[in-house]
Amino acid sequence: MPESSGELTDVQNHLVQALAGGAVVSGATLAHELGVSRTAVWKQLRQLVEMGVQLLPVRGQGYRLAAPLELLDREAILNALPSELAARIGAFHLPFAVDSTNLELLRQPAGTQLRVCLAEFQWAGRGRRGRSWQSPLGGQIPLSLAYTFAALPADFSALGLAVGVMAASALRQLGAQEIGLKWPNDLHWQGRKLGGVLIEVRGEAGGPCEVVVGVGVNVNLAPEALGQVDQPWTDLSRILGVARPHRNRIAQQLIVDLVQGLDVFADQGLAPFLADYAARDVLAGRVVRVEQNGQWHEGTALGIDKRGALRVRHQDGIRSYWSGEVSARALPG
Amino acid sequence: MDIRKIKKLIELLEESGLNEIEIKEGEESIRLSRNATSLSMAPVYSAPPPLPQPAPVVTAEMLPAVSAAPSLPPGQTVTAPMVGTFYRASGPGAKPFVEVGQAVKKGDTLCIIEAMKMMNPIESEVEGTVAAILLNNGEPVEYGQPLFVIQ
Repeated sequence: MPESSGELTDVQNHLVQALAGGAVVSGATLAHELGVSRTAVWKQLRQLVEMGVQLLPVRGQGYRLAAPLELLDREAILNALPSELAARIGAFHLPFAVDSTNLELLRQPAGTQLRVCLAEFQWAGRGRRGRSWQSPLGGQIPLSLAYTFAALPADFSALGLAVGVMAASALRQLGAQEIGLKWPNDLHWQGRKLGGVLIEVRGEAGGPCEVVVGVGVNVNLAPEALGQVDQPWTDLSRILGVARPHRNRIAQQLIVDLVQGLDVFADQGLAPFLADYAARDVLAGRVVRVEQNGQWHEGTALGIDKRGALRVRHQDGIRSYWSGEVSARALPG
Repeated sequence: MDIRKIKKLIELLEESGLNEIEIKEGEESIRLSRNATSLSMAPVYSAPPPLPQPAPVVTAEMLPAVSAAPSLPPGQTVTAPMVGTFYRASGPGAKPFVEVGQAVKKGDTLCIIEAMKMMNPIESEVEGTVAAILLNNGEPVEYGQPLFVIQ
């Protein structure tokens, strides 16, 4: 695996474009077209496989992808953004493969302008408790946005909850209704995990605070790619009933809603997001178990308080949580 | 509660969008409030100008007698910028970022405050020596709560 971002060679880019369109690629034909040796083409193909591209052999012809897909396109996304928003973006990274889009932005110097990172797939997307999560080519949209708060906003601890609301609102624009939120970081649909939020903070003592907001959304996951996932999952393809969701449109809408929402959060904190959160809260009213320092405490989730803490009624009273794993058996639809 | 701590609280109030802060420590409590007339707390992007702000009012009968609680050593108090869980190290088993007596530079990480999986490294704003660590690893922390004293 490469250490950091993986950009494609020209030959690989040619291969990926052809594969994404649904073509069967043949080493011999490509070698002829590109004027390189067959060995050189196979070497490039093998590197793609090492990056995680799953190729299916087509007997006697070459290789293809399990399903065609829409590759991400920086220009298409930028052009579809409102111009005043696009003007605020100082950097837009689109490596083909990356360990994690969050880490990619954290490796770069902070700035006051917005910075965006998307990737076709990431091999070390960081989920809760360091669970690693490798997204197959085109199967997810890992999006990270670096945003600078001039000063730490009120309710900063609850930023992730607000980001969940922002992402759900973007997905509603795309036709995905009834996206649920599971405290603190998960996007759900009908009891299945659709995606998640992971936020990293890079503060300067006493100064501005840059956050890297990561949102990962499943778009089109083949069942065999999901052997590593330990919980029921779903993707936008299934929710929308569309074989090939428009990944550029999804990425663009997520960027729009995140930036708008972060502007609101910087100004007003969590308050403007509370009603929407409550409407999407999949835990409220459920029997849940909350982990604190290795111990699990059972109770009934009562929703979140004004600052974002999860309220749970236990036998000995109501407690509020800022941290900890939460599990609920059989989440509702 | 010593005067530096109160001063720090006043700064916190001035920097925050809050009209009022009340802190309780044992039997001591202090409430700071400001008249709510003029503030616009909209964060400004590139260059936040210092807004003219009404001075916070210390409603002060609660200033305690010196003896009430173990007082902090003199120095600059580092307070929590957010609510969450206090961690002295980057992970279980890892070496703590700082120990009492250790020299720190501006920008050195002192601790992490975690809330909802968001890890916020808290950096020292000053150069000096860690004189006190006021919480244990894994303890919950409130907004504005003193964490460290740096001399």
